[in-house]
Amino acid sequence: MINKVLVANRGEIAIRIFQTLREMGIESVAVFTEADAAALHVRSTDQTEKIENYIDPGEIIRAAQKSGADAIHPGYGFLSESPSLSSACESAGIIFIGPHTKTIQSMGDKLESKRLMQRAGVPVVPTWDGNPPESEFPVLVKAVGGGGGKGMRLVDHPSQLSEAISAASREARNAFGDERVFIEKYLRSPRHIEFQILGDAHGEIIHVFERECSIQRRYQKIIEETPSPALAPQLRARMGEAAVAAARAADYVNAGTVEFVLNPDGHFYFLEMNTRLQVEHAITEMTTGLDLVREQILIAGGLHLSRTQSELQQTGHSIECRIYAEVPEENFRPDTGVVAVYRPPSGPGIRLDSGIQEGSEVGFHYDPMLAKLIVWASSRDAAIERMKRALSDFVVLGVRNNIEFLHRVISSEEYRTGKFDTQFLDRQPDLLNASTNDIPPAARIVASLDRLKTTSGSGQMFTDVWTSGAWRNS
Amino acid sequence: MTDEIHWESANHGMLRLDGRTIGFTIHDRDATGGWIEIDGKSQRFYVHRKRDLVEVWLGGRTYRLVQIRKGQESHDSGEVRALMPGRIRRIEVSAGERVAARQPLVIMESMKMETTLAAPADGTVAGVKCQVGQTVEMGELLVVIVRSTSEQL
Repeated sequence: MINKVLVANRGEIAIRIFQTLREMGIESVAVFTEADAAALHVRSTDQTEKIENYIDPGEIIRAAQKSGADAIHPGYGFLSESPSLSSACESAGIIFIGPHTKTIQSMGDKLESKRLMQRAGVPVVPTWDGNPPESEFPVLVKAVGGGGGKGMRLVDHPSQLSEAISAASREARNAFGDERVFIEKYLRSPRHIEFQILGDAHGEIIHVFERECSIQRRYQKIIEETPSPALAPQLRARMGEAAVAAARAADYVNAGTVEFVLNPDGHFYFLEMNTRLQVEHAITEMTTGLDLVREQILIAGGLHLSRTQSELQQTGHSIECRIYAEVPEENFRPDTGVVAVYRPPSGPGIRLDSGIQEGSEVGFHYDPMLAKLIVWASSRDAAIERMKRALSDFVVLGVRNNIEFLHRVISSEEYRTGKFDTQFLDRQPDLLNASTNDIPPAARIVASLDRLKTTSGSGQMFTDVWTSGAWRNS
Repeated sequence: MTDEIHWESANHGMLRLDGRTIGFTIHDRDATGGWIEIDGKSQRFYVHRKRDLVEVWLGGRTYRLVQIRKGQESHDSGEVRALMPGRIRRIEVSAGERVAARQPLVIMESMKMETTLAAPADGTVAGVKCQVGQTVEMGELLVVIVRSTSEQL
């Protein structure tokens, strides 16, 4: 059995894993870098180990050995999908809370994973090694070792292909140390729908339903929900079966995610498999009652899955919004600074997975995600209303953020209808801009109140004139 | 639209708006915020001051305000500053040029991303304070714009 787990990650996901470990009575170890010495995840556990960086498997193993951890949870990002950490764990006799090294390897290779799925009878997006026929354009150039939109190019015409391949290769080499790219058919208006799967060491594999991830910016998800408004029960069942077949083809053990694209014609295609816990796993937990981190730890300890496929069912509707330190109104540029005021929402059906607290410094070293706001309600409409309420109660000052933008998206008619695809933002460019720049009198009064406090005593009368911050960049 | 705010004590004052005079009161003020009552209606607020920028959270929105000093209203100048450390990639305007609100002024590269700094309002470029290729710090002055017409008091 597992007695002590080192979490090879930071921020909200490290804290979220610590929470389950504590509930299970398992000790936890945090790792942190110089830049993260004052980070919240370091304060959220009893034992800590300082490291140089989060992506050196040797350092992670040494930290685990020094702290006496018998297992490592990689979280997401960093080393979670690198076979180097799982194989180093095997050599060191430490349990890796994730799939086998060979599964990570074959699923990490976007070409090999597709070949494997094709053999298993799972539909895949058409792919070419060389030049596709002209009739197949537009196509996407994608990195073999990649994800997250890096090393990816949309090509409209064959004449632009060689230049796009060179650019994507360069980007892929910088981002992943692997310059290999391939060409994939570009689907014009697909939805991005993924299935959570769980597999144990005894060969049992189940799916834990879908997550709708079509609302994206720069190829990164910003709002996820489950169930997907696009799936009728029959289609859900077919995709779920395909997801289990995909996991079986990969000899999958532990928690993983099978990503599909769904075409408007109802055809779906395997895109890739993520061999780790997803950022958006919480919406699955909210609608099924499962704790996916707990399942991961039980599976890694050699236990059977806690539920069978027929025992699982979804209740209600859950939505997640990713709160980023970024400015949607200025082309989503990331922002940095100190979080001066931080008041997350609370109330029925609200969950917050947060990596920061008031006073936290948001730097440029790591991903600008501050927190994940997750709501649950009995229906999709009720979940939307709850998310709107929660976002409008969420206070973050000191660092620019996307909360108001998320509120505009969630409040839009296009979102409410549920009829959207991955082009959602391209079709609704107005959502990028604030609905109004008018400053209400109360805000001017509050601004001058602060001035009164710092510059004058009570009883003094004066007039202040204020203008919008949009006028002067600061 | 600007308005006149008269403080009569530390937590009470009068607002003159469109010819009307409205009383307001601040309740339960602490280090980060409080409640503001205007016309009998109370709203939660939070406030954070960073140099001459004030962020005010009110009713689910964050307003970013910068003070204009008395006498500046008619020949208002806007300073466009670097939003983060980085390098100047391109400069799209030169001194004396008329610009429209949102027109790109300077393209910066920081953290491997390009950011376009745009004109905050219609006006004239009073000066370009940076050069292509230059490395700049956050907050460094890049371009000065003089607003063509000012909002009236």
